Amino acid sequence: MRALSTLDYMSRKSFGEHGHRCDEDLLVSWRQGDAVAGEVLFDRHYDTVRRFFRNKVPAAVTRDLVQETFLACVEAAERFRHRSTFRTYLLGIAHHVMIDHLRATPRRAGRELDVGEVILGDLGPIGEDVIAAKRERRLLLRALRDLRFPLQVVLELRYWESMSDPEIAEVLEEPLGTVKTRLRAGRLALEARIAELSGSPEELRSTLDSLQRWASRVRTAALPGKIRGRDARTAGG
Amino acid sequence: MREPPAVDPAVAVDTTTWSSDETGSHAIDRELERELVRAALFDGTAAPRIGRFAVGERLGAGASSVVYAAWDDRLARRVAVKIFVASAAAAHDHVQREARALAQLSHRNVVAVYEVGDWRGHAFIAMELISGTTLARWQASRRRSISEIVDAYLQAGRGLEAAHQAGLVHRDFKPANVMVAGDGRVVVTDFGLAGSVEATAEAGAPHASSPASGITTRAAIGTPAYVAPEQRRGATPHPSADIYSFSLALCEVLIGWHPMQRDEALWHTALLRAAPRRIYEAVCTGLARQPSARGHTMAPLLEALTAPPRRGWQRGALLALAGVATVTALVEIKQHLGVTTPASPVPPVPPQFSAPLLPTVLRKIDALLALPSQRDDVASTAALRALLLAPLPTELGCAWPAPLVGFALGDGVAVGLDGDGRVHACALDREEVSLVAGGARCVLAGPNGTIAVIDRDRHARVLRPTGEGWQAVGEREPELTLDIPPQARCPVEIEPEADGAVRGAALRGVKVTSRSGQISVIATPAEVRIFDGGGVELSARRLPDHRLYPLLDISHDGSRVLAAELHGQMRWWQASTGRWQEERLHFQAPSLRRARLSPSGTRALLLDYFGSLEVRTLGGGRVAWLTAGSITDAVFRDDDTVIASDADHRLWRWDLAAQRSGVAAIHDRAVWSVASNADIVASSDEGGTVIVSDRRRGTPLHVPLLAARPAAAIYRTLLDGDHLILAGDDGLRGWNWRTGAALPLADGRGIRVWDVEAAIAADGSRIYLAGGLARGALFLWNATGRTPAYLDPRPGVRVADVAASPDGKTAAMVDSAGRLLVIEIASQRLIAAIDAHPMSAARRVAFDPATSAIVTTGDDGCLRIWSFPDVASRPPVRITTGPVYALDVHDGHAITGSYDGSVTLVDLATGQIERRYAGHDSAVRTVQFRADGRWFVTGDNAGRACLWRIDADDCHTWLDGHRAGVLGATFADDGTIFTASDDATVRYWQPTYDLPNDAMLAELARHGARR
Repeated sequence: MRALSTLDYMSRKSFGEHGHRCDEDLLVSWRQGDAVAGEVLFDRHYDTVRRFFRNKVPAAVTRDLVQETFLACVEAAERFRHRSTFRTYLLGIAHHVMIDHLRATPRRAGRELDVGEVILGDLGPIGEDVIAAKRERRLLLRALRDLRFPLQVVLELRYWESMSDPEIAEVLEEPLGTVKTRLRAGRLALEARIAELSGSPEELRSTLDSLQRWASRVRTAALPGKIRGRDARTAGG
Repeated sequence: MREPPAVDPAVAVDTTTWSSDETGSHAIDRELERELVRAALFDGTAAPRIGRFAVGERLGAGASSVVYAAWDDRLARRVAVKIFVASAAAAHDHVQREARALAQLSHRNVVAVYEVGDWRGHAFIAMELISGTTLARWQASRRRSISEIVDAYLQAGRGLEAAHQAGLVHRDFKPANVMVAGDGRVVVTDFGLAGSVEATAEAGAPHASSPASGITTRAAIGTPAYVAPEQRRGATPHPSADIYSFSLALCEVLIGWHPMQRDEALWHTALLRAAPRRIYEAVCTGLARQPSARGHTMAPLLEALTAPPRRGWQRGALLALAGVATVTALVEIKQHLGVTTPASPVPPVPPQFSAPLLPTVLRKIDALLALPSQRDDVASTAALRALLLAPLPTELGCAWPAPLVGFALGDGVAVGLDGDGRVHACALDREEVSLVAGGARCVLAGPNGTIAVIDRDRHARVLRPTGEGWQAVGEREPELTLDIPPQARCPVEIEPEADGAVRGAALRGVKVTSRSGQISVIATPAEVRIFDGGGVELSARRLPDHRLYPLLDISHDGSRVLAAELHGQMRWWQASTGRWQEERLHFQAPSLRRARLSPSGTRALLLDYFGSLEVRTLGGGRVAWLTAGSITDAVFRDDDTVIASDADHRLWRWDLAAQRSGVAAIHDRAVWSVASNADIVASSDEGGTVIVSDRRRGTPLHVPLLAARPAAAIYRTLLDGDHLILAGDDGLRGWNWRTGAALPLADGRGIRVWDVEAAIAADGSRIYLAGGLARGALFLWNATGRTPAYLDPRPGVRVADVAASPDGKTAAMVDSAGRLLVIEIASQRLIAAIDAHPMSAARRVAFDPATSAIVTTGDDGCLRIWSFPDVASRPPVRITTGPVYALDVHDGHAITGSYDGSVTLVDLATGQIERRYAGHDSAVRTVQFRADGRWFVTGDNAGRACLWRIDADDCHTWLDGHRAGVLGATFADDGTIFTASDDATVRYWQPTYDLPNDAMLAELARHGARR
């Protein structure tokens, strides 16, 4: 007997006509008090938001930050006008939530935390769950967390959310050139870090040869939410 | 932070699928999490439920399950709900069956199960929510005392026991599966369930979202595995598997690291150090690889944990000595065995001695008497006698003013630390206790009476006793800070050196320098290197890779270096030969704790972690031992006195002088002969090495006695006044042993000399006559050189033995052709040439001054007595003794030792056999009279040697301990016996020539023989 997946349960749940509405409409409805519209939005984008935090903070914190992001997206809905899609808007908020969280983290010796320089891997382990069973994935996740935070963010948005450069620029509210620079620097730094972490020359070679392919494969295989994410985008666009 | 992720090579990259969803978490887990967030975001949405339980906080996740806190509406209580990730139907049945069994079980130390159910295809269990922490976190959070640990594991063990009695096997016992509640109650959780689900899911129902197996995950994150070996192979779980896991976890927490991480011997040592012996033994049993060897119940483990930790080291156990007793004990033994003897003068039994002593001694004796008859009953009795005659320790009068919490024993001083941090020292020679310092955290004892006091700030001071009290030594660095881990109570293995430096932390024996400064030793786990005072390397010895530092010691004069390993391998280096020897000690476990050399380096004391102490002579076997189980440390005060401390910090003096036997010299090759006088003992071996030792001090004399060419064997050692003469493959050589000057004996290279005798030349000077083995020749050596006195014309004839007449004017020799040749020394004239042993080889020849006779023996089995000087004219008296190999003559009597082991006393005056001595059963290689002719010593090819009284049929004292044939023996003037053996060792005995209790022992022997 096969376990019923999340998707099975979702499809069983009736959202009525909401299921066909685009993200923008749903957001408006939610703001006006339509909780069902909010639930539809939540279901469509929960995985994306969770994924955004999952490799950045411990498991227990992830839930709080996901919750905070959805609440904030209702409260700050005016800002949505300047965005092309709900997804970039939502991830932009998630990005702010993440930065706020980092700034609230107790700092050593009273120094102001520089978000541009912080390395999440230095802040401590993010819980047992992150220790993936698969060696290659552990390696990638670990290497990503060992990059400076801005580089980690652009790379994760690129590889895991398959975002284009302009989309990433929109999420981060940075100029396109900055994003391109960061992507380039991030790839180099990631390769270097993987080289440091990988155990054998073979592993290093195979990893570096196909970093991009590999990363996207990880994402494809690991994240069943992708299909639905694309559907949602199609519906939204 | 920047270290690579822990990767176990066993966890190969899974190429089959990237199936499991996100990193390490489970679909069911994420699903619940999503619903929890949703419930928090949208007011109308109820909290998710598992069965009737409203899910709340996530408590944790394991390899196969996730645990949430939940609320039970119906009974209005908080519960823990565990959801299994795998969802195979078969697993359900399994889980449900086990959970139902568990639900029947109500035990304080087993988690209570309320409900078992099914939620969205996943099995779940609702159970008691225990607010507290896991045992794993509990024991990692801070250092726990042994009583805390024992209490926690006792509770957990009782839980396991209750489950076993209910027919359940846990299968995954580990500290992470045990909860410690806020009130101290310890509860075993995750009973049987994780194991069964995993096993079934892996075996039966692989599916897209099944997580990695528990083992893989554990290995991947580096958690030590606790599963029993057979369980890993997939055997049916049995309570013995839980016993294994429990023992492993207990051992880990007691020693502070996982026992399987390092060499097996290490955990034995660490556990013995950390825990009482009863717990050690129970854990050893529990960790047996064979499930059947572990027993079927937790009872032995629980029993070991129940006993108070100190119970194993009983007060007074020191007195429960196996094989160590007094005459008093002998009487009691005799009574026990039902042997009655005539009243013997016996001192009254001190009551505190008799009670604990007797049973142990009796057990030991019973064991001895029950030995298989490799050695006959006579030998057993002899061994028994040796045991019973060994001395008892007596208590030293160091009276500590307060109970001690720390203790150390050095040479010359014992130091104790009381509960208030005061350090007291007891000078062992005066037995005076004085206050040394306060505010100490631990104390260590060093050589020369120095002590190190480590205070609460971990500063170490090395103090030395002076007339006025204790003074810090080490001028350059009177105080030094040691790198001592904050949790360590005392770095027990560091020792202050005489110059005030403190040896490296927490390792044993990294560098030791001898008291005289002549020798220093540096050891690593891989090798031992010896340097002289100038830093020149004298020797380097590789060690088998046990990853352990050896225990090191050097004798005071640097003549010997001892390196012993935990496993019981004992090696020593001897400066006089520059070579290493080794010996294997037999312990029941790798447990050697201390190994120390006596000041002269001839004896070693060995203390194991079981609290047993033994003293051995290097290469010579055990001198005495205590199997009391309570000795914590021991040092030599001198070669014959050992000071030992017991678990109660009492001090004991053990006087070994009463048991005088040991090793006089250790060679590399078989020792053929030994000679001694009042001053020295000299022995030589078939490798050409001679060792000459000062008998009073026991130290080697550094006489440059080396063979002229390598491996030129020496067959005979002759001490003639100040002259030491050696006969061997490279002829005769000689020295004045007092001055070390070589004697002007001419070069004898190329002539193999079998035997040498001293005689007097015509001019009154000393002359040495030697039988050439290579050629049938008798040679005479004098101050100017060698002259062939007689050359046998027949080729292939070898001289077997030579003898000089009492007046030194006549020589006799026998050869391999069976002839006896008598030669006048001064004129070198052949007086007689007789076919003494026709058709066979002659072996021995000797003069008897009392009867004026020449005695010859040969392979024809006859002893012939020839009258002298008219040898040729009168026929000999012929006696059948068997083919005699060994012969000695004294005052009208001859003793023969033959190939068949018979020893015969012949009266030369009457030509009759006077007595036959039974005892040897292999070829007797040597017989030797004591100077008074009342005693003689024999040695045979099988390594047995015996001291005989000439008028007694049975061996008086067996000289045990030879590991190979006894080739030579000699008496010193004081009655000390030296033996030369094929096992390359020269041993000495100082036997008690008249024992008061012979009759009693004889009866005991007869009793033993009847068993």
